[in-house]
Formats: sequence, structure tokens, C-alpha cells
Amino acid sequence: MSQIWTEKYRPKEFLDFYGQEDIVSRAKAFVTEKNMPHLMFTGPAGTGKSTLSLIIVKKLYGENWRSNYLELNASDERGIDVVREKVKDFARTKSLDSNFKIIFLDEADALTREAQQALRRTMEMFTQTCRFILSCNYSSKIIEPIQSRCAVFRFKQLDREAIEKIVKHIAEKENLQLEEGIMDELFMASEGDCRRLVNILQASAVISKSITSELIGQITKTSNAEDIRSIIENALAGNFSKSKETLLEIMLIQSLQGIDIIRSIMKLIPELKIDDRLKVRLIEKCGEAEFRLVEGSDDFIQLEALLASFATAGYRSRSKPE
Amino acid sequence: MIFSEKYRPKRVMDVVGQNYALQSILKSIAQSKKGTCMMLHGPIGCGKNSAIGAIASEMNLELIELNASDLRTKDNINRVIKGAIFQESLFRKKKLIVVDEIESISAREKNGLIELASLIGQSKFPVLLIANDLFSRNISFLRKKYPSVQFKKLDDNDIMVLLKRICLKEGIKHSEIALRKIALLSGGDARAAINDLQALGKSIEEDILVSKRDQEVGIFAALRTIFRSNSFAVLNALDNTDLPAHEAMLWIDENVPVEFDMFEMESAYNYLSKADIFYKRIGRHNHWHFATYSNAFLTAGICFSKRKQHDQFVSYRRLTRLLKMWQSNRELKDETAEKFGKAMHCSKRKVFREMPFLKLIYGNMGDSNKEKLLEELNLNSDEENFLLEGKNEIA
Repeated sequence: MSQIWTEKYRPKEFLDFYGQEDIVSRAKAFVTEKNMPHLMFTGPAGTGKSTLSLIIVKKLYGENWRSNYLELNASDERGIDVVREKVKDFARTKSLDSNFKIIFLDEADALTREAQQALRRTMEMFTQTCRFILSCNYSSKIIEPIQSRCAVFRFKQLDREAIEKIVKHIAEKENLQLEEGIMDELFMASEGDCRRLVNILQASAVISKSITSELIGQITKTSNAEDIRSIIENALAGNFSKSKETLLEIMLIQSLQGIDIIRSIMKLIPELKIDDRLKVRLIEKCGEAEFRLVEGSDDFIQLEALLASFATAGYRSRSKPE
Repeated sequence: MIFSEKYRPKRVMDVVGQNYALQSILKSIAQSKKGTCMMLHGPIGCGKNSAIGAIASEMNLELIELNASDLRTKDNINRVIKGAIFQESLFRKKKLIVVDEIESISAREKNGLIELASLIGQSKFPVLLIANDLFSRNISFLRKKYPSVQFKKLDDNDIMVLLKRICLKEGIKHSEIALRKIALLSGGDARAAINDLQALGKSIEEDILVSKRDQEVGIFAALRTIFRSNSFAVLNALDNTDLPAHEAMLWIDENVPVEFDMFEMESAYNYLSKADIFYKRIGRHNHWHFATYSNAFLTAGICFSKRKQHDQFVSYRRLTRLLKMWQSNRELKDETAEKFGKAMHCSKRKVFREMPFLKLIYGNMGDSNKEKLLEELNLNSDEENFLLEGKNEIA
């Protein structure tokens, strides 16, 4: 049994799958009929796409599910050619248990249009022996030809009821004491993402079985507000080296991703004691930086560029009182 | 924990090879009155900052460290230094004010230096200025005004003492010859030697990388070309280094603040950021030509961000310890994330977002569960150490 709760408590039966009622009934039908088209699972993170796929697979193939199932991640692989190679190798051998094997391609929306065209050709090539389950956050980023070849399942963000069921189930099995009103806290902290929810629960529970609001608060404090404040203020004042050093430290020691840091900076900007026009300029620069962060490969360099632009913005704001 | 930080001397007697300098400084501080200031100078990595740290710690002084590359204008100098000098210590201690890399004070701002000297004259706390190159033209004014203290270049024996000390404390198996090689390669730079030691792991054999230092000579030359060129031939600056593109970016990143002022820096970082984006696009679109753009921004983009002639001497910096960790951490992080990703049926990217929680979970687990998790994910000891970094202690 897994030490990681997201795996230990991952539903293994359709019965235990909370939050996506219509989808579950359609999925059950595929299993009974032992047939399915290509599928597209679309929706926010942590809503059960990988889980549902796994349940379908295990129900269809029983014990041999591993030899009939290939899990790939478009964002992890180095380009579409690698993906196609892996698919080819996998699809080469026929399934011993069924008419088709299943390939789960996660984060399919990370593929460029060209890559998706190539993917479509691959899907066509192996359509007899393989079914694809494409998973993505935004169906609009998947090209039309692929969408039309798939049955689209839209996963919705987990609602309060689903979150409660999940939390209560785990609390019972793990002997946790839930403070009154803690559901609100957990609901907010999870942002509808079940994986995040369970990680928060486990991170709290390893410290104390009594899950209190204070404990959750400590766990989810993603970065020290003081550090972020110091980074911004030093940058604005022109103390670039100090700002940069603090940034590097929190990225290394706290393992924070660039995107989380920009979010924290954005949260802090309105509270700073600076000119309102400067605040707007800083937000503009954050927007540009976040865009580049997604496009680039090195969070640290992109954030430094942000800090350098804060430095000049701060300087200009000081020298020209408007 | 990085050795060069962990083993900084905490007592004056632990500082190796700088007796003369230490005595001069201690005497000066003990007798300090209003306006006492000294200029410390010596080669890179010989212990200037360490000595100051040890002195401050032993004499129970509050250490205020400033970096002159942040002091660009008279206003800035005024604001920052004044704050340091005139505010009482929060801890009711006496202060020791240190300004590092003093020669990077902008030469344009003539008034800046005069302002600095004037403020120093009013300070009741002793001020130490650190220069890498005492004879840099733009600080001759300061050099003539204040007494200087020379830190000597550390020799192999000095460095061996430091390395042996660390090996003993860390339980690193080593041979005399291997340590001496490291000492020789460092060229008197204790920090470099200690970083090299740490990079080599738990057991040091004799056949260690010799070419590493040679490589740096090439990098420094490339940096000089990028920052000082006036022609578009600068595009070729990186061609003769074997640096992978991403490492070149980190070296440039480290040295942009050394050369450029605030506005030049904004432009330079803008190009560095674009170089990074095109670098990522190479892989994403499987399109090698993007490397050309990446290179152009890294060389010409940086080069022509300067708005004025730079011709004073500047010591380029090696990748600092933290930056080096960032670099080596990326691979480790990646491998660890891959293993978690397989177990958790998700991408590395998702794992990174969850990493702070995963670290908390692992860090606070009981030992037997830790064992089980390590086995479940097949994590090696480096990966385990990565998970334990920055463990949050919650009462």
C-alpha cells in the first residue's frame, strides 16, 4: 500500500468516484460493452481524469492492465517525436486480453498545433489496435480534427459536497479529528483540486491527527510573506543583489516555483506603500513575466528580469512625482 | 548545506593565513573613534568576508553588510549608508559597517564618493571597505584617504588546512595528494577549493577533474568580450567555450550586475529573458534555428544594452555557491519529480507544484514510513536529501 495518500485513497471502483456523476455512468457503459471510442477528458487539475482512466483500464483488463496501458505526459516528453515513438513501440504488439490497448496522454494541450497534427496521424495509424484517452485542462487548445475524433468528457471542479465526502472518508480511515468548520478551510485551500486536497490533509496529519484551522494555515503558507516583501522592496529601492539573493534562497530552500512566487508578489502589491500608478506598472510587469515564465525554461532568470524592471520602475517613480 | 557557508570561521583563531590583517583590523576597531575607516583588499576567496564575520562575532558587533554595486547614485548612497550609520543597533550592540566590492561604485558619480567619505566621517561605528583591486582608478580617492589592510593570497598549505578540517568533520575519505591537487587548482581561492571539495562527494580519489579551472579562463574571456565589445562580431563570443547554453546564461546572469547600472541591467535582463525563451522553444518545437536567436540575445543583446563606455577593471564573478546549487539542483529536482510523477500518475510539472507539500509529508513522517516511501519510489540518498532540504519545523 502506498505511503502517499493521493495513491492510497485513489478510488478503485466507479462507486467510490465522487463528483462527476454523468461521466461515471458513460464510462461504466464502455466497460460493459468492452468497447470505446477515443476519449478526451478535459477539465481543471485534480478532478479525476487520471483516476477515471485507471478505473476503466483496471475494469477492462483485470490483472493484466499494466501491459495494456501506456501513460504518457506531453509536457514531460521531449517533443512529439518521442511520444510517437513510444506509442509505436507500445501499439506494435496486440493486446492478449482485448481488441485494443489504451494510451493515456496527459497534458495534451501542452502540444503545439504542429505536434497535435502529428498526433492525429498517429491516432489514425493505430486506431484498430489502440484507443487514446487525451487529457487536458483546456479543450480549446486541442485542434478540431482531434476533438471530432474523440468523445469529450468535461470534468467539473469538485464541489463542496464531493470535497466533504473525500475528507470524511480519509479522516475515518486514518483516525483524524476534524475541527469544526474545517471543511470551509479545506475547500478553499484545495481550490477544487483533489490531489492538492489530499496532499494538504496528509501533510497536516503527519504532524498531528487533530486537523485544526491553525495547522492547515501553517501547511498552506506557501511562502513567507516577509521574504516576498523584502524581495520587492529591495528591488524597488535598487538593491538588486540583495533582492536576487533572497529570491534564489526561497526558490532553492522552499522549492517554490516561479509561478507561485509571482502570485505571491501580485498578492502583496496592493498593500505596498507606494504610488498607485507604480502599483499598476508593477502589475503590468508581473503579467509580462508570468507570460514569459510559461514560455521559458528558467524561472529564476525570468524572475530576475522582473526584479530588474521593478528597480527601474521604482527609480522612475521616485524621480518624477506625477 | 553548502560547505563554504557551513564552515565559515566563527572565531578569529579559526581564520587561516591572515594574522597580520586580523591584528590590524582588531586594533583599529578597538581604538575606533568617529570616522574610523579601513580599506581591505586581497585576492578572491582569501578570507576577507570570513575574517570580518569572525571578528564581528567575537567582538559582539552587529554586522551591517552592504554591496557597492547597489550604490549607484549619490541619493542611493545617502539613503543606504545613512541608515546604516545613524540608526542605533536594534540589539544594543555596537555596529560594524562593511561595504563590499567598493570599486563598483559608479565612476560617473564623482559626488557619490565624496558623499560616501563625508558620511563615513560622521560615523561613530567603524567602517570597512572591501576592494578586490585596490588600485582601481575610480577608488583612488578613497585609497588615498583611508589606511589599507592587505589580505595575503592563501598558499596551498593554508588551503589544505581548511580542506582537512572539513574532511574530518564531514567524514570524507581523502588522500593528501588529492587534497593538494584541489588546493593547487584553486589558485588561492579558498571558496573555490571548498566548493570543489563538496562537489566531489564522500570519497576523494586522485584522478579528479583538472580541466575545470581551464574552462573558466575561457568563460571569463567570453564574458569580457560580451561586456566590452563594440562590434557586432560579439555574436561569436561564446563559440569557443564548451559551455552548454543554459550554463552560459547563468554566468552572464551572475555578472550583469557587476558591469551594468540599473537601466542597462533592465535591458540586459530583458535580453537574457528572451534568450531563455528561445532556448526553451528549441525543444518544444524541435526547431534548432531558435538557438541562433538565443545566442544573439545572449551576446549582442547583452553587449548593446550598455549605454556608455565601460573600461575600468572589473573582476568577473564565478557562479556563486547558491547559483551553482540551483544548477545542480535542477537535475536532482527533475529526477526526483520523475519518480514521484510515475507513482502519482502525473507530470513532473504537477509534481513541482506539489513539491512543498511532498517535502512536508516526507520530512515529518516517522522513520519506518520514510523507509517504505524511499523503497516505494526507489529514491537514492541524494534524492532523499533533496526532500529533506528546508524542512519546515512546525511546533
